[in-house]
Amino acid sequence: MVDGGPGIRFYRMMAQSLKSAVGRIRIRIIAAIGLVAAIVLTWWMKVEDARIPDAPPPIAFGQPVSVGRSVFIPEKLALANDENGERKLVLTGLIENVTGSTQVAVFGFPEMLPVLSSGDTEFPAPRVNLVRDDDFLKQLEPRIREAIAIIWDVPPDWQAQDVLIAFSAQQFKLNDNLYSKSSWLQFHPTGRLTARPEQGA
Amino acid sequence: MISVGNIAVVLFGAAALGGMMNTVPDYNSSFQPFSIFADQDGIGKGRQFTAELTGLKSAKVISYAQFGQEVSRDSSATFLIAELSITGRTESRQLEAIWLGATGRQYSQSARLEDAPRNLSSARFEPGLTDRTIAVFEMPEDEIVGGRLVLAPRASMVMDGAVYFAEAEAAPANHEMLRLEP
Amino acid sequence: MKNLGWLAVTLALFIVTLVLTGWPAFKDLGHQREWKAVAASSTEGELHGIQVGIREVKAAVVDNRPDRALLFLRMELQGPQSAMESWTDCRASLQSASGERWLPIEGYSIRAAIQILASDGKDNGNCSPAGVTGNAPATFDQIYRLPAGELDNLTLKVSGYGTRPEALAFPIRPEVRRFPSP
Repeated sequence: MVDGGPGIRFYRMMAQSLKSAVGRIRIRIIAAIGLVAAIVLTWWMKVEDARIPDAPPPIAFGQPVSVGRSVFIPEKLALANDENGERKLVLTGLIENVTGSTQVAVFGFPEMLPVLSSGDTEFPAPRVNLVRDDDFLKQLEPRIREAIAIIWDVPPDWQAQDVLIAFSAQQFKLNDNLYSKSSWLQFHPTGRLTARPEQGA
Repeated sequence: MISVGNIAVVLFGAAALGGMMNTVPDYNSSFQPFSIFADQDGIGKGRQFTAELTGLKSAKVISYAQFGQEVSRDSSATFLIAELSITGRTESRQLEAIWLGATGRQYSQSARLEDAPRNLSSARFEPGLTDRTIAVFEMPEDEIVGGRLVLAPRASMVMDGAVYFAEAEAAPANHEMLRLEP
Repeated sequence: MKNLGWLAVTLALFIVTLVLTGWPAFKDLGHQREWKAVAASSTEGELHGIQVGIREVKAAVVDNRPDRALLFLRMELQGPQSAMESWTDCRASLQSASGERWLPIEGYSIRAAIQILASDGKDNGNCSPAGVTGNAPATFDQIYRLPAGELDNLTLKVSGYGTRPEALAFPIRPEVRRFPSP
């Protein structure tokens, strides 16, 4: 009962001060400002979300582009025939793992390889080869830059023309919102490469 | 008015809460395997295996024979070969090895040499039997001196213990071309 | 003092909640280990509707490595498909008196020894629920790698996920064949 003493007195004083009209109007004005600010902020956040995102930056040969866990420097795009005589589009370049551990999912997990589009033709997903071994790229060690070749099968009806290759990177969060553990989240576009393939290997 | 004592209690509570929130270890640092350190002889006793690091070698090129064909792997950096002698303890188990480099980066076993003879990734260790294996890594030269080898059961490393071997103090014997025999 | 009664009720309800929410976890934990051994004769046993029979047990020791042995085991399972579905999977492991456990080997290079040790030279594959029917017994071959010193005191434990913690326990006495060094 003794503890409730100062508390009750405090509330009585508040009630008394509210009884004056000026106090009442001041408090209502503050509440209205707060309400309007909340509405404006929500509306502005919706406008920001709906804005058309900027197009990813154009990349030229020799310029690095981030693909999430690694950085890729495209060097050459060529239209070549493999040993069966089938046409392949081969993008060669250097890739470097920029994380702190060996990566098996060099292009992210679930994997998002660079997307090739040209004219109206649909290109299948490419395979990534390690040039040194002439075999699949199985993993990439940090601080070691390797030459890789990204190989697309060319559909038979495609004529040699300009191609557009889109690179995406996975976003990394050190403490995610669910378990506060480090995880790789959504993909966002990081670069566009427009080029005309050279002839030959 | 509010007594000073009440205000002090609230402030102390806020400070304690802030301190706890800022010092709580996050998921990344809590979810680590138990550390078991190898003794001076290089023998580490894990829960399911006992391992001894018998030697370290480095090489620029590694070659071996597989199904009668010669396989040769080279690297722009260097290969590190860790020779291990492992005895199983309680149950048949496969292990994995990681090299903690001198800069703090973690290097897993090289997948390019997965089918090398006596490779750790294809070996399984039985209780009571001692087997010799090798673990091959690929890394820049400066990650070797000052780095250490970690051995843990495969696929359940976080829930179990990992054996940490001593740091490499000197650069290991370097071979230009190393041949792996079964 | 009057709150003590409420505290006691809280404690009791807390324990009841723990047990109720943890019951599936406890049951699942029980399914991992085989601690209820169902004794069987040296060649026949029956567990949850499936008849298990041991047909061949042979061990091989190579002269230049006398400390280690390969143990080949052929067994037959027969029973209705519903019983096999309640088993879910099949695990046949060898256990020593001190609790060490050896699991069958999957790698093709060591399984090639089954074709040498088996009486008909065929490898029927590891024990699995596929192919087990009530009409005819399904044959399975297992091979284990273990120290030669443990060959005297082995128990074969056969169980499925649905039968654990119960498992059939067969005492094993292999005939040892010595092979000259290759």
